[in-house]
Amino acid sequence: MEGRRDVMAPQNLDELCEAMRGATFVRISGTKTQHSYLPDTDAVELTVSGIAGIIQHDVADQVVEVWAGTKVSDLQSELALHGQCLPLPLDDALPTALSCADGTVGGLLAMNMPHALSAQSGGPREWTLGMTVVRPDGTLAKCGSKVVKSVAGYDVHKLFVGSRGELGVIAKAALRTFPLKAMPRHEARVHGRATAPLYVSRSLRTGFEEALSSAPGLVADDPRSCTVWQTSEPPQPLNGWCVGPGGYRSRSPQPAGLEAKAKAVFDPDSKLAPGWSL
Amino acid sequence: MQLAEQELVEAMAALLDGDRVLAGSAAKRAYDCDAYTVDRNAPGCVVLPESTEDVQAVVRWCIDNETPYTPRGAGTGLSGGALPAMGGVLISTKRMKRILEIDVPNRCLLAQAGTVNLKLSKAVEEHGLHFAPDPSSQTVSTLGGNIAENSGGPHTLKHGVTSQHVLQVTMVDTNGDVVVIGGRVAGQPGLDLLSIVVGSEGTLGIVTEAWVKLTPDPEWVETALASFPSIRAATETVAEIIANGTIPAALEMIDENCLKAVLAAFPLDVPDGTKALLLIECDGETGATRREIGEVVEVCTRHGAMAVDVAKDEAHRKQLWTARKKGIGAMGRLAPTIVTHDGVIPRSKLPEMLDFVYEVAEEYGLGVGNMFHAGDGNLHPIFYFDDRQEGKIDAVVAAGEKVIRKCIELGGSASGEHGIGVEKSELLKLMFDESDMRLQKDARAVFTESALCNPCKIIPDQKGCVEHMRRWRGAAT
Repeated sequence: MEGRRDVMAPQNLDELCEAMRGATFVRISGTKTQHSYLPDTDAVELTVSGIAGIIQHDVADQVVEVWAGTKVSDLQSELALHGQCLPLPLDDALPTALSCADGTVGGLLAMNMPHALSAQSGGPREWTLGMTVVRPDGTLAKCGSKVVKSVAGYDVHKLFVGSRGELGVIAKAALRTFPLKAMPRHEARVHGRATAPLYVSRSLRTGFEEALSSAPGLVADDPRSCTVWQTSEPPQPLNGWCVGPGGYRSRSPQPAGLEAKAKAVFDPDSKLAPGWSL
Repeated sequence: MQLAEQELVEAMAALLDGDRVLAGSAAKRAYDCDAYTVDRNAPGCVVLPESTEDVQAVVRWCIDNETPYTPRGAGTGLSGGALPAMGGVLISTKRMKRILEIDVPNRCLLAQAGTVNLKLSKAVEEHGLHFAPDPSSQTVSTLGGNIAENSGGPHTLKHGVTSQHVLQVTMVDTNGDVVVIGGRVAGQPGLDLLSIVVGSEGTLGIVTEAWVKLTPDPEWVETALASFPSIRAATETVAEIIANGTIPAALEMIDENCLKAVLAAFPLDVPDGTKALLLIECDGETGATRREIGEVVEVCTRHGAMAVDVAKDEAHRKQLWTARKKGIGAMGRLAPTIVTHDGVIPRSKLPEMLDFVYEVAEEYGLGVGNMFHAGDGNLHPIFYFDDRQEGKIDAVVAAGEKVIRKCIELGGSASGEHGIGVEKSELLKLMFDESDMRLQKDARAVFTESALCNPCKIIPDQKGCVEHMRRWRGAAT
């Protein structure tokens, strides 16, 4: 399958805009570490992995601006030189599904998957300050800010976090960095070997024991955020949510009308391949 | 077409009981602005719903009768978010103050939008939990208002702003339908629509209830108040504390003018010649917290602090917070009117920015005090003046704009926690170009195309907003 698909790999922002403008049906990717979560389509692939690197790191302000194609591991190494990091688990022994250390910054933000420090340091939504996106018509637009606190306008950058390439391409992002020495230790427990793709579910604290005891193919769990990683789909009913190959389920589904409206407003020609089979 | 006022009042009285509709000149005056007092416009009437259903009934009526409506919490907003810019119905959540469910094991709570921020924490105090966002207005401001403005507060440096603590909202949308957005388990996959609702200043609908996260009280808290002989010594201390890798729970600065006002009202032991105070709080695990405060004290001393007072007990801690918590109120002693501005800069630019603020105040003949969240780089210049003097209002608007322009120029933001409201819609365009604004409008369009729900805020492109702005800004623009 992979070989037959066309791949566009722009090397700079202009090329990225051009690629978006010219495309009719694209799927956005990075290094495809979480590729298996996305439904298979005949869309042309547009990878941002060629547009990488740190644009600016304001060490004293603890803010870094990076291109979306930057590898998370490269960014972490660079930040570590200044005693800083993104607040992801820094434990090489953890499966990458729990550390999110693999893949690109764009993928990290677009997928917004749980990690083993979610409870202690939050997900990407909590430390994404702003971003520049390329819209389906090839135009650039920025949202958010480059400072640690801002309520100027709607938080569109947070809408793009976890949007799985359905609304536009994240081209670059401003992220809050954290002092390495203040990083909490994760409390995740690894039980089995991780074979991608995994099902990741999260429950209420009161439902965690049950979720854990009935988890087929248990790979790991994090009692702090009540998250379970497993190789098989968790049984119904859920008392929280689950994400895995093919899509997600939730006990409190979002208003379908609003999700559909968002897609229609941001991608009016349905140019961007679905991140999920909704 | 807007109905005649009497008709409006009667229509509302038919929907709600009579005592839940306020009209007449006293009510109109009381509700013609929030804490951003520069711009005023009276509502046709004020309603006091008690439930989501009440709000829905009012909204539906407004939609059917093309009448603008504006939600309001406690009216402590500082950018005019609760200003009924186009008149119409002002929907106050004042009576929607019930906490509906407390779920201690899952550390969350469901409350009506009008519930006062501090009441949330009080309700779960005995369980060692609290609601983390703590805007300075927390004794009066409401959950709904906090959600609308994505409120911050002194402790957001470490613990995050409101959006990080809201799990799910119930909202009456601009079709008059009730929608539930988000979920009780954080990190829900799918499009994060909740993040657009939080901070949307009541422009996308009216949030009537919300599930919020409760945070366990820290095991240990250490608080220090340090006095500095210069602003620069204090700002450099802030930079070094952060650069050292400490994230205090709070890192607040108070300048000499604010201190003067505070000292006139409350006894506080600070050395003569104090030009700036830093209030620093560390919290968390006991050992780490004690270590952190030790490091903080060391940094303060190295930067020339004349005194560093570390709280010995809870009473002492409360006393150290006095200056910060009571500061705004005390400012009233300096002049009849105060206007608090809000902007953000990269914190490394603090020394340069503060110099600029003092210059601007002098240029416009205004007094200025600064009391703000230094750790976040979130500035709050407080201009004080006598609004009976001709031209002062124009001066304060112009001075504020100049300060915010500088914030943006230095790579910051037009607002850190007070919002855009009516005050800063023009300034938003300095941060965002046409294409960025289109993205903003698209985010709004996901939820609404309505011109009735809290018009003229954030993006004032509804009919009549330009005229309104011209009217209140007068010749100033």
